[in-house]
Amino acid sequence: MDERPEQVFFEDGALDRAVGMIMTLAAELYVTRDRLTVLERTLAAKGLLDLAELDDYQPDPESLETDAADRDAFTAALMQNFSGKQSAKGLT
Amino acid sequence: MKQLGRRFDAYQSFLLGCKSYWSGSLYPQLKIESGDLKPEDIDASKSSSVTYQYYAFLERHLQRMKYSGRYGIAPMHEPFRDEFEEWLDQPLPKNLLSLDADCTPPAYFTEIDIHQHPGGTCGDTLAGVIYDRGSRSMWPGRSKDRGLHGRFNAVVKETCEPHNILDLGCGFGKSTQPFTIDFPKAQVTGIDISVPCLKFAAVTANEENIQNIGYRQSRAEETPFPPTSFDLVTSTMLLHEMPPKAIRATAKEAFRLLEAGGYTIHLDYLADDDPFNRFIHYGHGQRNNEPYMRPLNEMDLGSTLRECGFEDIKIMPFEEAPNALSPANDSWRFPWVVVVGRKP
Ligand SMILES: C[S@@+](CC[C@H](N)C(=O)[O-])C[C@H]1O[C@@H](n2cnc3c(N)ncnc32)[C@H](O)[C@@H]1O
Repeated sequence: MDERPEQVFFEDGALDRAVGMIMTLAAELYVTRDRLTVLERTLAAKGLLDLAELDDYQPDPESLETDAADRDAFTAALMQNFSGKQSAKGLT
Repeated sequence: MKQLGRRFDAYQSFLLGCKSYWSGSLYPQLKIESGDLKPEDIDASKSSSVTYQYYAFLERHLQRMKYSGRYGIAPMHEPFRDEFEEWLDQPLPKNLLSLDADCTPPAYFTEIDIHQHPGGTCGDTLAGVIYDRGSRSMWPGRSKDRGLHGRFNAVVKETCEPHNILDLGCGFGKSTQPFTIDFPKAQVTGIDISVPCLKFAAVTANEENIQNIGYRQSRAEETPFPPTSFDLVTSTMLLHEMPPKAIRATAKEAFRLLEAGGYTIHLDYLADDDPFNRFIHYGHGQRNNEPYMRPLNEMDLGSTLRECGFEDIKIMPFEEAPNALSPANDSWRFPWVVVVGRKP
């Protein structure tokens, strides 16, 4: 395909690319949210899921630990970007 | 219509929500904040209005996402390619569709992927299927398109009662079919340069068992029909896809094709003289890959028709949906117009 540079709408073209990513992520989030809703409805219709049970769900102590570890790993990977530090010794 | 799956529906619905915000909230906000913007200010990257920068960005990229991207219309048809191609290539009754291998699309058309549809309306065997889906999926608020042609035909009816209609740039038949309903006694012919669109048009006409319709591959500028073959030569959203030279050739061809007393009637876009309206409209052309939108607006279409021999020329605002022209409607809209000329 013949490739042409995309139009730029912000003073700094970096913002165009970042906002593009935000819109793509938002779209993907919406598709996933929708999927979840459909999943819930389908399971509930089959009597396999009680929606109130989802909202009132209380993890047992073991699950609590697993969830906390998962949350920490997720947020650490996300927030690391704000540190401005290298992950491996490299050129500066 | 074939379902492309829940992910596709959810994604397009997300885009529709964004687009509704863009046309119903961001556009009025921009008009209030920066109503003095004018065509010279189109380059958003040099604008001092952040609202305009996002307005412009979203206008381009929501449309890009509609066609391309993970759940875009084009890629989501790929898994069903064979099925669609077989459907398009089914045998049809004689005279419903006639193709012409010598009719190549003009360079001005293949140079740009119109509406950001990858490959444009000619570039792929599924282009008609994709274009049809695109015309349905994303218009905020109203089910714009199906009602649009009925409203246009009502304007036509106020002008004439045609028996032999030629629809130039008929696409996948969305403008052509409604003529068969509103003018059931007329013979209706649609021409287009896009084979994938014409096939879609012919196959759907056959499925719906429409008798008074025929499709033919031809350029609008130079058609194979003998002089005085029609009493109405019309187009819908064609002129703004052509450079002025091609528009002049098309007007001349329409004159040749019409019998005396026949009409040429076109539905298209012309922004009025308000600088902000032009700024919005020319910017739309730039951002939506429609390079001839602005030249059409800047040429004198009335004089062009007059030079071809047409009389009683009228260019009138067109209300594409109920209350679209009401002052209470502050949403973005196309500057629709109907252009009429009569062959003496
Ligand atoms: C925006 S579409 C409109 C289609 C249809 N009239 C409708 O209202 O849905 C414009 C159509 O014009 C066709 N077209 C562009 N240039 C043309 C030309 N020079 N001759 C014939 N058709 C042309 C394109 O292939 C496309 O299908």
